[in-house]
Order: sequence, then C-alpha cells, then structure tokens
Amino acid sequence: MPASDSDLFEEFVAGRRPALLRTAFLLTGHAEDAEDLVQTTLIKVVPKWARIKDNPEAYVRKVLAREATTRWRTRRWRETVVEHLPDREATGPDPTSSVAVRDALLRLPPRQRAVIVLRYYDDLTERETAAALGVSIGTVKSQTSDALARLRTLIPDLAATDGTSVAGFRG
Amino acid sequence: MLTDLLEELAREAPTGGAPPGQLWRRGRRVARTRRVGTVAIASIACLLLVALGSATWQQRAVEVPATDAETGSFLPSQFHKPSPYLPGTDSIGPMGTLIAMVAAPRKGWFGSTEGLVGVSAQTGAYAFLDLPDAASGFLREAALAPDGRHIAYWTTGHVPNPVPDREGDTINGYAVYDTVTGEVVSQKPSTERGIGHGVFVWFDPTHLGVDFGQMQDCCGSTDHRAMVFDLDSAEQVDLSTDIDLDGAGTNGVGSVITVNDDAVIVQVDGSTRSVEARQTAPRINSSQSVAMTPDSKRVAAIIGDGAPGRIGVKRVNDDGNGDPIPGTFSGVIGWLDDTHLAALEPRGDNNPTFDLVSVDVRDGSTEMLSRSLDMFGVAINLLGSPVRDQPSPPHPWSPWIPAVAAAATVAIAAWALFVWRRRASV
Repeated sequence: MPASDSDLFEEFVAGRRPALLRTAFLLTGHAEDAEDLVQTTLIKVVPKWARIKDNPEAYVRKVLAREATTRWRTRRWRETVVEHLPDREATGPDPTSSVAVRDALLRLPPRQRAVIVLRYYDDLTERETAAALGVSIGTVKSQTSDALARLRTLIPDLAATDGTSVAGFRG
Repeated sequence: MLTDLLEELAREAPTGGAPPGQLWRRGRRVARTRRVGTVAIASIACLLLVALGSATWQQRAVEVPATDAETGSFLPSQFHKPSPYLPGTDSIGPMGTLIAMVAAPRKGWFGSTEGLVGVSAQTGAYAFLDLPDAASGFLREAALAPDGRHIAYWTTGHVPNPVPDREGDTINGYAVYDTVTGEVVSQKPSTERGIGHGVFVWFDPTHLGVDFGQMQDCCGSTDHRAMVFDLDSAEQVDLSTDIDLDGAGTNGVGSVITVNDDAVIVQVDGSTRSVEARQTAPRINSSQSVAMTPDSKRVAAIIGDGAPGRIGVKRVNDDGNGDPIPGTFSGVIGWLDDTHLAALEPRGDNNPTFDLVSVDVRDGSTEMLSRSLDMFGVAINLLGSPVRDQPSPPHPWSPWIPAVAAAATVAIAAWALFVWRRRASV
C-alpha cells in the first residue's frame, strides 16, 4: 500500500527538519526565529505537497529562503540592524567564534545573508541560489561579492585567508 | 574557511519543533482558509462587476411602455434634455417613426460632437441618430418628414476641388434616412467645390424640397437651385429658379408656401400659384415661418419682426397680416384641424424652452400639448396624436465611470487576494 501524502510529508519533516533549522538559524540568527521560519515554511508547502512530493527539497528551500528575505521587509523578525557592533573586551572573544560570525551575518542585509548561507553553507550553485531567491545569476554574483567584502571587514581572519578557501564552493 | 565558520555556527541551531502531523494539519487548515478567502474575494468582486454591469445596462436601457396599439403614435406630454451618453441607432437599431428630433451634444470616450437625438413616436424613447456620412456641422439643418418616417440631411465627402482652409465639413450631397428600416437614399448633385447654403422642406411624407447653391469661396455660393425629390421614384423635379425655399412653410400634404420676395405656393410637381403672404418674423426653434392649412387656403404666422408676438391668421389671397389671435406666441408649427393651430408658447424670459400648445384660432384659448419643447424638428402630421406621459429617457453614465469602477474593482480584488493569500499562509 503506497504511503499517503501526509505520511510522506511527515517522513520528509522528520528527516530534513534538522538541516532546515540549521539553515534557518544562519538566516535569522536566533533559535526561536529559526523554528518559526521552518514551521512557517513547512506549513506553507503543505498545500503544494501533492505536486512537489517527489522532489520537495528544492521547493522547500526556495520557500525558506524567500520567507527569510521577505519577512525582513515586513519587519516581522526581531532582529535589529545596529550601526556599530558592541565593543569587545580587550582580550575579546575569538573573532572567528560563533558569536562573532553570527553578529557579522546579522550585519548583512537579508538577501546578502541568504546568498552567503545558500552558497557557502547549503553549497548551492549560483544558478540554484538564483532560483531559490528568485533573482538573476548576476544579482547573486554581485550580492556574493558585496557580502564577502563586508564579511572580510567584520571578520578580519577571513581576509587573511586565501580567497580560494573562502570561495571554496561550486560555481 | 567561511564554510567552516558557518558549519560551526549552525551547530547552535535548535533541533525541536512541532510534531510533523500537527504541521500537516495546520497546513491543510491554512490551505482551506486560503481557498475560502480566495473564493469569497473573487465572488464579491464578481458580484460587484455584475452589479456594475447591470446598473450600466439599466441606465442605457429604454423602458418601453405598454401601448394600446404598438403602431400608434403619441405626442409626449413632456420633452426631456437628452443625455450626451445615450446609445445610437447603430447599436440599438432603427427607432421607428419619430415624433421629433432634438439637437444635442454627443459624448463618448473622448471628446464631444454635435448629435441628433430622435424621439420615438411610439415609445417616447430617445436615441442618437447615426446618420451615415452626415456632415456633423450641419446636423441642425436636417429635416424630419411630416409623418416622422424620414430624415433629410446633408452628407459630407469628397469633392473635386474643395474650398481651401474652410472650416467644417464639405458637403457633397444629401441623403434621406428611413427611421423604420434604417435604409438611406443618397443624392450626389454635381459639384466642383461643394454645396452651400442648403435648405430642406418637406412637401409631404415622400416629397422633399431641396434648395442649395455651389460653394465659391469660404462663405458664398452661386448657381442657386431648387428641386423636389420624390422618395418613391428617386427622381428630381427642378423648380423655377425664382423659387427660394429658404424660410418656406409646408402643410405636410403636398404644398409649400414661400415667403421671400413674391410669395407662391409650390406643388410637388413644380407648379406654382402666386399668393399674398409676407413673413418678416424669423423662424424660432422648430417653428415654421408660415403654417399653411392642408387645403392651402389659409396661413398663420407670427405678426411683426420678431417673436414672441401675436399670431395672425389670414386667407392666402388676402392682403395684410390677417386677424391677430389673442395671446403671445413664439412660433407656429402647423395646423391640427380647421380651427386649431399647434404653436410655441414661451415659458419665461430666461427659459430657452417652449411649451407646445394647441391654439383655438377663433378665440386664442390654448391647451397644453407638450412641455419643455427645445427641438428643431417635429413631425407635423403627427401633432394630432394622443398626448401621453412617456417615460423619461435614460441618463447613462460616462463610459469612463463603469470602466474605471470595473478596473478599480479588479485591482482591489487582486490586491485583496494577494494580501489574503500571504496572510493566510502564515
């Protein structure tokens, strides 16, 4: 007896939710927002499930990425963009620590952040990233370039490394 | 390096979340809610569009009253100012016999033009008359036949050598429109530069008197010519060059009386008879300079140099103005019977319209026929028809109003759908 749509959905959620939460956490910077984003995304894909159930990954990721960027425009996320990061202690935390990376990501505009996460964490190609965000490949390229430049400023250790190691991803 | 940093940060991601089954049920509920909202918004939009269409259609529709005999003719108890957005005969078809014509501005999507509105003798309906090739600047020169069946009008079109820099249409002939069938009979007299200074006067329902000259320059015409056009045979009978139909009056049953220079009574076959008649008061609105009885023995006219004034009635061979009738009138329309005359009575100093009254020529007593007459063409042979309260003509909106309202409805519905589907998704 073939599995019902709900069974397939539950199976997908059970298997892929941890990965989605990790991506969402990078996109939002907060655990609660990440849970909210993933939950919203999964609820939103249910009406389309019958059509995407054979290969839901790409569609789910697209909804997740677009929710993350469009919600910023409606200012529903709790994040606030500040002009300056808080001063670090003299001995300061490690500039490549998770806190510093998270702060640096939050300093990026949502779309640049999404581009970085999709390209460098989810390991998507430029074309796949463009499709997920609904933008052109050129936009992905320029947003990537701008985001990396900004991150190099915020995370000096990135600038010190070889560019190829920074951009060690598929093109 | 960046990839490593991101992977390290991602390890801090939460791992919990609502049970998958609960997410599925919420997703289904959201989908249902979204569908219901979508259907509701679309339904409301459709209802609004249907209501808008219905209101627009009702505005343009003409209420046709039940008549004792559908072929009967009626004189409306009141005339109305027509809406510039009334439909035309091109869209609603021929109107049937007309009791009157009214000149009125006609508007559409863009701009305004001079128009001619027909008033149905049967139903009292109003509609713009779409006269093929009509010279729009000369629509006020059109003439309604005494029985309301035909309209004579000037046509515009190509002429070999048109007068340069002349404003308005170049007239290349005339046509007769059948108000019942919609058929048009056109006549194109020979002309080099166009026809000018034309006049129509109906001898009877099938004989049209036409008087015109040949344009020479912007404002003058020569080679004056008058003729009788037989509608049944489509033949023309040239009248004597002495005859000037400008200002002539008709009895509607075959005779016309001219009042310029030597007065003559002209028959449809072109024969003439000299009479004693002078008329110096100009025509007012839809009146005639001189109203002649069906037997062509008496005439009635406004006495003096202008209107309003008193009406004089006399035998055609008698000298003078005849016996004045008590009362003040603006014009004479035609004879209703041996003792009653249809005439225009002023409604007030500042009122441009008139009342159509029946005047007893024996004592000047009047009886109201139609109020608010502001027309220039009337079917004089139908003036004896029963007077009836006809429905007011529709007053359609500008086509922009329903179009903009429909576009706004669609736009608002689309926006509401967009907002709703986004909200319902969360």
